[in-house]
Amino acid sequence: MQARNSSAQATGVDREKVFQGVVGVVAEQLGVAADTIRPGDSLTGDLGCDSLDIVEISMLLEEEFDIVVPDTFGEELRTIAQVTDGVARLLAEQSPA
Amino acid sequence: MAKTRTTKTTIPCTRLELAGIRYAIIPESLFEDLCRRAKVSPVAAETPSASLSTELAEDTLSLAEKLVRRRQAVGLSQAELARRAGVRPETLNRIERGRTTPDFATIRKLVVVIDAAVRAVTDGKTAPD
Repeated sequence: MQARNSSAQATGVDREKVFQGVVGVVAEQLGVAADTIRPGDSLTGDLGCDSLDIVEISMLLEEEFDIVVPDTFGEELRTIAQVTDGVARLLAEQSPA
Repeated sequence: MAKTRTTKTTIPCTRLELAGIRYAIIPESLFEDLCRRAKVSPVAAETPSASLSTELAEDTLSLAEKLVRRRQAVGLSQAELARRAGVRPETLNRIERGRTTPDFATIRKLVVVIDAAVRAVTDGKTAPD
């Protein structure tokens, strides 16, 4: 059975676009080619992010998607796919009705 | 039967960050007691490097060095950065010496101030108050 982010879909959040945006932000922050970043890559392990990178990525995501990222963001989300899901969820929660 | 009153038990711990993951360091005897109560068996965590303490120290120092470099690059004193970020000066001092690892919220406060100072410098203005 296909997993669905029903909340994001219900408000029309395009997860693929979110993924591309997340990859773009991470690539910019880390100075790596976007096409080398995979959904399963962990921020701290595979991509070598430290805590400063995590904070700056979250701030860039706020600008990119016009969302507010909670302080728990860095602790909850480990992989690019999880970051994508997290941003999609925030878009669904914070987009105007 | 009289009700027993539950009380909070404090656990002495030090919070540290290693490769982006936060750990709580507690006395080994307490850890073993907690495992016994939870009926779990601890297994050694895998780390990519030979020494957990070395990697921890390197990660903490790396963050500290980056913050110090960025602060100095925009001409902010440690005291001024602490004031603008709403962080205790003593806390920032420990962070910059690599003696403590700040949490996400604290790092964000510092980065926001430093970024604002960078923008002020690139805009050719004096750093905003």
